[in-house]
Amino acid sequence: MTGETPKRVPRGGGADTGGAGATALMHRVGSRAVHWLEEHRGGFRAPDRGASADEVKEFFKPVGELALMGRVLTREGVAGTSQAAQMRRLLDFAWRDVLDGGGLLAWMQRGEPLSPVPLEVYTAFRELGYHHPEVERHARLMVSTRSWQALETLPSRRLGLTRHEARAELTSGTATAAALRRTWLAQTPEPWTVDYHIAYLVTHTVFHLTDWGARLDALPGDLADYLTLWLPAWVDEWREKEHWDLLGELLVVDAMLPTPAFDGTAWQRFAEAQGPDGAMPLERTRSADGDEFGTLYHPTLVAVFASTMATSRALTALNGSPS
Amino acid sequence: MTTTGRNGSAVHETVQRIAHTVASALHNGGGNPFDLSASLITHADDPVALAAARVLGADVLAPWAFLGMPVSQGDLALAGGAARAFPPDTSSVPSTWTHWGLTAALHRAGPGGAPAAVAAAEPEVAWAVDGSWQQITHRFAQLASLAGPTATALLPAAAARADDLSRGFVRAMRRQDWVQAAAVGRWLAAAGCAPASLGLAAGLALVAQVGAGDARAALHVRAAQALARGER
Amino acid sequence: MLPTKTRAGVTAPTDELVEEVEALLSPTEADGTFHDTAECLGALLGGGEGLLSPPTPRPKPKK
Repeated sequence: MTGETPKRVPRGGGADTGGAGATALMHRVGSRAVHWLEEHRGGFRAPDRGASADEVKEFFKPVGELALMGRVLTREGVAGTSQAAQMRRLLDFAWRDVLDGGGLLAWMQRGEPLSPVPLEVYTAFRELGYHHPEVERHARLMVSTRSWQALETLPSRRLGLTRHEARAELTSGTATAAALRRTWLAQTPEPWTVDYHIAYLVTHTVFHLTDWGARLDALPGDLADYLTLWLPAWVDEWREKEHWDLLGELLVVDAMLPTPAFDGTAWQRFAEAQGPDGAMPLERTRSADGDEFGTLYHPTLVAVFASTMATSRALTALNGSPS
Repeated sequence: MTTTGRNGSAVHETVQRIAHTVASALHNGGGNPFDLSASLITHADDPVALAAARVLGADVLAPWAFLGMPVSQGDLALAGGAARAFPPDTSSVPSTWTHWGLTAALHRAGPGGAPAAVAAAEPEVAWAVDGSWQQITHRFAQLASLAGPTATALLPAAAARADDLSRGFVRAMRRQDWVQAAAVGRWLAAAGCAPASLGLAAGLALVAQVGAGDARAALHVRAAQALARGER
Repeated sequence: MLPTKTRAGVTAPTDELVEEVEALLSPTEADGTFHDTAECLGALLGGGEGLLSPPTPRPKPKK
């Protein structure tokens, strides 16, 4: 065995959060991560207009992901007052300063009319109450084309697009079931084949399917059972390999199950990996060199996600309400 | 071949040879006669051969247990000698259980070959109730020679933790610990209650394909496959 | 240390041999040292990558 004595994992995925202390630990991860994000918000800024198309595309992703996490945090409502305010300031900054009130998305649509990136970025902002009519009109038009519906992509990404359309109220979302069926996860394949890449396919499939935790009952019973069975093994693996980004995403999935396992050892190691400034390293420990926003922002956003979902589910379980 | 076993590879090498021979017999379904001690070409009280037989425990008699193949006098002597020369370390769960399994198999295979004492009561299984899934996987894997056609208290204990052992199987596969994967897979095959989504048969086939470096992995795979076919 | 003979004439195993047997009966787990090639570092949450564009290089974390 490794040097650690594994904490007892509740069998059958019981909601054994280990009490208020464990919940506080999970919550603290998120509040510290939000603090780092606000301190380093400059990293979300768009590159100069003279930047290459690749650089621009690179920039949109962190902003879009920030909005997604902001939506999760405000929706779940478990952040403390100051963290909620920090997040709201961050989102205002992202929308107004970074995206120029949405104008930068419209600019991208004009340059690449069929790119789904603007919609993927816009949807979470829209859910948070930020609107740009031109961006919406353009997206509605593109979604109605045959080309958009025929776009070739990974099944998990197709599922994501289908959900974005529905969340942005551009379509009814009836294509969701068919899109889910084509994913890897829907086939419930052999769990011992889950490598690094497949693990991310699984997490993204669950995120998209549940609209980032907004619709937990969208997860079908057979997939919930499958994940309840095998997630502990995958959590164990990536905890041991100290890949905090993937471990964090797996912990999010756990928090979305009907009965989360709340692996105490995994959460302990996850919390310990977080830097004193609130940044979560991608893997192992943080390297001591400069400009790290590009590698730190994503695992730190994941930490917000995992913390928010787990805290929310743990509080629900403590209150004895139906999850 | 040294007699002290100080050069560790002598016992390890003999373990590999025996495991390979037994695995082949299980895989071939009893086509050729099985005589381990004859194939080892060693004298009956060679300490290294006895040590290797003790390590494999009841599995030196697996062709008899799984396929009903006749067991040679030489093999009874080998197994009996192993049990006598290496009594159990009573502070060790694997030592006590594997020794018990060896003597129990001897009793059934050939009454004249067993040590003088009647087989003792089974060792305890309390550890299987409370351990984490990682811990019990590790433990059950060490006791895989007990996963055979004849049930012990270990079998319902494994069945009660089938989901957890299945997680242990996944973990072993991902770590490429082929011996552990095959050993846990053998317990799951014996208990017959691995979740369908595990894909146990495919996993064991993969171990047979890539885990050939350790003959103990091959042995456990062939035993598991025989159990899944419902032999004996 | 030479093996000793018991009264029955059977060679008793040495301490080293007994130790080795017990070690083989209860091995510790090998270190899991296998890692997938991390091609897609910093994998995205939402797959916001432009579908019509080729994959863009990701910043590589320094080891």
